[in-house]
Amino acid sequence: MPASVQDPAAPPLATTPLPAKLANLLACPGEVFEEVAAAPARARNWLVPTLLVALASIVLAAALTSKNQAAAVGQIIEAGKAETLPARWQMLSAMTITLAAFAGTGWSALVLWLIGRVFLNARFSYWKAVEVAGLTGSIVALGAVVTALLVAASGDVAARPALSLLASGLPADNPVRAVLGVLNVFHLWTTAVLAIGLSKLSGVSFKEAAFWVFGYWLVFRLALILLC
Amino acid sequence: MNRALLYLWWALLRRRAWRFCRSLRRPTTLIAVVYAAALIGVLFYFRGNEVFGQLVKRQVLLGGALIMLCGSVFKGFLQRGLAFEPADLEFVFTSPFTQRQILLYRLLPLYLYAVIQGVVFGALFAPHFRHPLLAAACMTLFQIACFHLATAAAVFGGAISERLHYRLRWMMLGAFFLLGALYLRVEWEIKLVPAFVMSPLAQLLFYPAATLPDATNSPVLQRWILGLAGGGGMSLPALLRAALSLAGFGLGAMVSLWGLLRIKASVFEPSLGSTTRLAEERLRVRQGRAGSAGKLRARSARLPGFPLFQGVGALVWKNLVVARRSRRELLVALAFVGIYSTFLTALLWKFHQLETHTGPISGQDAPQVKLTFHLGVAIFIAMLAFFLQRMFPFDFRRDGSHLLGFRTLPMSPLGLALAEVAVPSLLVLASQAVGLVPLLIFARFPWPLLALLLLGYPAIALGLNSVWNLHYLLAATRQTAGAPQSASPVGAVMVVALSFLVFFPAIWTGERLGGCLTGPNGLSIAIGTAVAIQLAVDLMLILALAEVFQRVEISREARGSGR
Repeated sequence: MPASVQDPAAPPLATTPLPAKLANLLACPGEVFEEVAAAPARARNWLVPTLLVALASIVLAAALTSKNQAAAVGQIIEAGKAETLPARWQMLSAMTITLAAFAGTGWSALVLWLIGRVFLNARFSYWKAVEVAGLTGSIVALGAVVTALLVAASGDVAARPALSLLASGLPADNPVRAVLGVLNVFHLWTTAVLAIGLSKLSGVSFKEAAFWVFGYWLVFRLALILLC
Repeated sequence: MNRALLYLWWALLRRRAWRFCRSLRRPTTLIAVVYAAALIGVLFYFRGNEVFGQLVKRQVLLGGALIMLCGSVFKGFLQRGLAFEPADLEFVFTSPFTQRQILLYRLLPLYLYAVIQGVVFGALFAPHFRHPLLAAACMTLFQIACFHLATAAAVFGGAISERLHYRLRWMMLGAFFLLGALYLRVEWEIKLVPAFVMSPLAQLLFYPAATLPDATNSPVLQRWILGLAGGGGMSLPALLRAALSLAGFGLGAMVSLWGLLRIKASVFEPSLGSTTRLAEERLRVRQGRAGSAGKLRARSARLPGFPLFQGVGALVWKNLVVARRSRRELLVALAFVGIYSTFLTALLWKFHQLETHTGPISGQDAPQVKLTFHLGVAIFIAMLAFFLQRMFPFDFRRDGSHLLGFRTLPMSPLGLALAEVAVPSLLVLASQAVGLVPLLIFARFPWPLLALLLLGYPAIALGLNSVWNLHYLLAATRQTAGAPQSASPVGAVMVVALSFLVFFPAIWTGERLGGCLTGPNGLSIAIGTAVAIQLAVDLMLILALAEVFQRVEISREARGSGR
């Protein structure tokens, strides 16, 4: 049943606490999203996981001291802003990541909402899509922790839990490596969970939702790499 | 395949062919068929040209195949079920035929079409293939495969629910888009994806399937954040000023919205009136009746006592009054003529300014070059008639609905035809005069040539308006007789082609004479002959217009007595 349809005479649903929701999302996302679809919108459902993502990503960023980042800093220094950089670089990086986490949640929710509205002909609230995208962040946070551990273990800042691990000899801008990098275990997991969320919100089958979600988050991304 | 269905198809095919042959008695159909045949003939004549070779390159063929394939599947899917003739539903569906036999019966005409298409393809592109027969056969078979896919998609589309059909439609469009982009990238090396999409920042578009530190590792984003944090040259007071400005404008918008929502006047009643007015206006524009309701209620104009406007001239007066009241059309035309004439005048002025600054053009051909330039401008002014004709609808376009009324008027068909084309022709000539005056000032044509040019413009305007009025009159007679209005694009294209063709005899003769005759009067004689021929063609067109008007009356009477 679509999320917007709710029987006012029905008894109030028993709500799972947020930590349990985040844990359940890893094991049984369908049940979590069913509850989200039936319950009224709650800001904490997406605020807390998004902050968690930001925190985990900041930890991961600290573990990564990539050459690219050094180059970016170098560019800014060349631009004549060297005096502002050293002290605040870590803080700026953290701010960027936090903003990106919130912007990414909003954007992915918008994409989910548009897919539901335009392609699946289903109507549900945008804030429900934000909750789905936000809760999926718990997998992103786990992915960031795993990636940080992988980098620490392998000593390679480009190491990711993806098929690109098999092609570590290739340069970073190689399209084959980019394609293999898209096939990240956690990316596939989050995409599948988003598809489950969309199917629960729009009331369509998982297959239909998965076509669009995988189509955008995976196929479209792979196509962009191949088309560029 | 059932033999009865095969016979039915054959019988229907023969009947259609016979009907088609009979329909050739209608001039419009005959002209269309001759036009299509001539086009194929021209293409066949030039089939050895390099352009045809380019059309059968691997990339083009692959693109064409992709379009055929995707188009067939999508068209069939949108159709949702097979389309049969109404008679087939009553006869074939109720007869003891299997579904497979009915499907094959439905496909038979398509197979014939595929074979004809293959033959035309083979005939046109044979010089560019190593094995033309094989290519034609492959083309035919591929087209047949496309028809099969379209039919399968139509059957499948008709069997699923409306909701599923809606979703699958979008899925197919998405898949086709990706396929098309991939084709352009691989075959033509056209990159539809801008380079910035591959920047780390673009990874954010795919959040949560993205690693955030990778995505934020973009110098652009970091520079922006740096600026936002006050390290990039933006001080705290500047940030505060920016925030205050934003807040001020936001407050202004909120206050104005609050004021708007506080208005207690009724919105619905005035809106109803304005909506009705707007709807009427749109309907009038769609029906080709310009002007607002207020303008239509203008007081009647008295018929002047001038002898020209007596008798059939009253019709000219009526159209002049309509033109005077159609200010919008006249203003649009005036603006167009103004821009067009300004451009030509500027060209003339620039040419003469260059001549003044750098001295007159030297050489033996100098007078000839100047004359050619000025004649070119004169031709451009003449071409104005082609654009303006559609802007002055004061002829059978408006009077088409009054044909029965015209029949009761005491005037000859020839007079009526002349009266109908008079006003648009006069208006076209008046517009051309705007551009002609600067030309005459700058060019200083010899008197004989000038006289011929001035005669040429009315000949062009009259010819053009006669052709189009013939079309309007035929359309109006069909509409008056109760036949559905035919406004097919093919018909319009044919009239456009005909409006150019009526000048062909005059231009051809003038060009031939201009090439043969030399000496000071050669050009004048050539133009004079061309103008005379054009005037003769115009006369024939006007007579044809009158004849059509008269014949329509007779046919209506005959039909009436027949009843």
